[in-house]
Amino acid sequence: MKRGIKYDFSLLALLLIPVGVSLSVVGYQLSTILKLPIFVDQIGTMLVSMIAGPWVGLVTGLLGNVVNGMLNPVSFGFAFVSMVLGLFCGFMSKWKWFTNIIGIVVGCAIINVATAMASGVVSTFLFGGVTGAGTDLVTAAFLATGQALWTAVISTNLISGTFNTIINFAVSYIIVRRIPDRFLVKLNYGMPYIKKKGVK
Amino acid sequence: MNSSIGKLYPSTKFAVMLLLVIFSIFTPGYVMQYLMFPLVVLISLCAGTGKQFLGTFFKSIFIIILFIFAIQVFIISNEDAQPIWGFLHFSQTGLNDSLSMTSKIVAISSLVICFFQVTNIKDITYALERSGVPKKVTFLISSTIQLIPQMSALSKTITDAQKSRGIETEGNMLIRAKAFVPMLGPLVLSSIQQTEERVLALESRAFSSRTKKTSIYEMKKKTADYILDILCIAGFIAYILWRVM
Repeated sequence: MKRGIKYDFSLLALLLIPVGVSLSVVGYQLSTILKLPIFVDQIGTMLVSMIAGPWVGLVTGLLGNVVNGMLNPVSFGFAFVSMVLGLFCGFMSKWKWFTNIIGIVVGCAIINVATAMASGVVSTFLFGGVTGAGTDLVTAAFLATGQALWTAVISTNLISGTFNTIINFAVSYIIVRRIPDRFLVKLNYGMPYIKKKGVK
Repeated sequence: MNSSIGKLYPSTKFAVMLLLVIFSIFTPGYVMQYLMFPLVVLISLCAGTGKQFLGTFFKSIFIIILFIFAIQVFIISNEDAQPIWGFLHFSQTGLNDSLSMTSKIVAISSLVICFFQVTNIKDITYALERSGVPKKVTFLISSTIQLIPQMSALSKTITDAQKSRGIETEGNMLIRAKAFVPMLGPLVLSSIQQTEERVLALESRAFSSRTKKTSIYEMKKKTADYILDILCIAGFIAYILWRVM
């Protein structure tokens, strides 16, 4: 059935966007409290795009970075990365990739490559290959071995992105699985995650 | 926000910011862009947000600029590189590149930080709504801004509750990572429950109705706003003429 983008933005989905954005912020705060080496800052985007569709996920990613950008304008540039993440994750969830283990592995790999490319493009063109985080040291190490800036940035993003994507995905997937059925039915894209089978 | 700059209409402040951003992007060289920084500091001091501005700037932008210089000048191997020690070398091209790149980053990001510090979010959403942006969009922005502090307060409560039940938040990496889901799970589930209630509350207040709504919060353009608007347009035209000639 062909449905427009407007159909995705029901009032319920619209109200999930602020929840997703604040979830990403809280996730980031928690990972600093627990002193984890990886910043889990995209849970909200992934969660919302899984249960509310790609376009709502895209808006969540954008808004999350805009809100962060009010304090740290660097994150405006990386809004593109979160938008790509939301879009990809949403489409894969829509195509029911996340209901079996093979789909999850392949999906995570694709998401990882896509976000690494996006973030590589942004950081190379806007910030000369720098992101302002600890992973810049890895980029510097790659550069010191004589690689070109472009390949160095992409390889760094692929490496750090792998851990990031896996952890973000794992946490948000566990949480999606815990959402009660009676809420999932109300969402346009909640169908793949409903536990009770039979009545369709 | 109570200063004379803070009380300007949001779109006026935005126009001034946009004009200065355009200046910084399209003017060649890097002197003017770096001069933008003291100008913004001056504006922030007048608006009473000077301390905040410098704090934010040095916490975020300053670090990234140092990294850019380090990587571009000493590590990337350009053609004119002169070796210093090991893999470190000095390159003039890299220095020029990083100067032109960082100057733009400094100018644009300090302008953006300053704009959001002197402008109330409530004013921005009000001005957006007045200029015809759909109510859904403005509601999205304002509710996000309001929800974040609420959710972090809630997450603190949940963290304390889980700690009192004996969850381990210290120890090796794996133990700390395991604590993540029990801390985040209840937060998500309770906020999703609240979402359903909020939908009902909004619908009962006719949020989806298409009629024009009134606002209890009022803001009007003053003479200073009109003067600044005209000055911005004049400045823009003058700049285009100067660049084309």
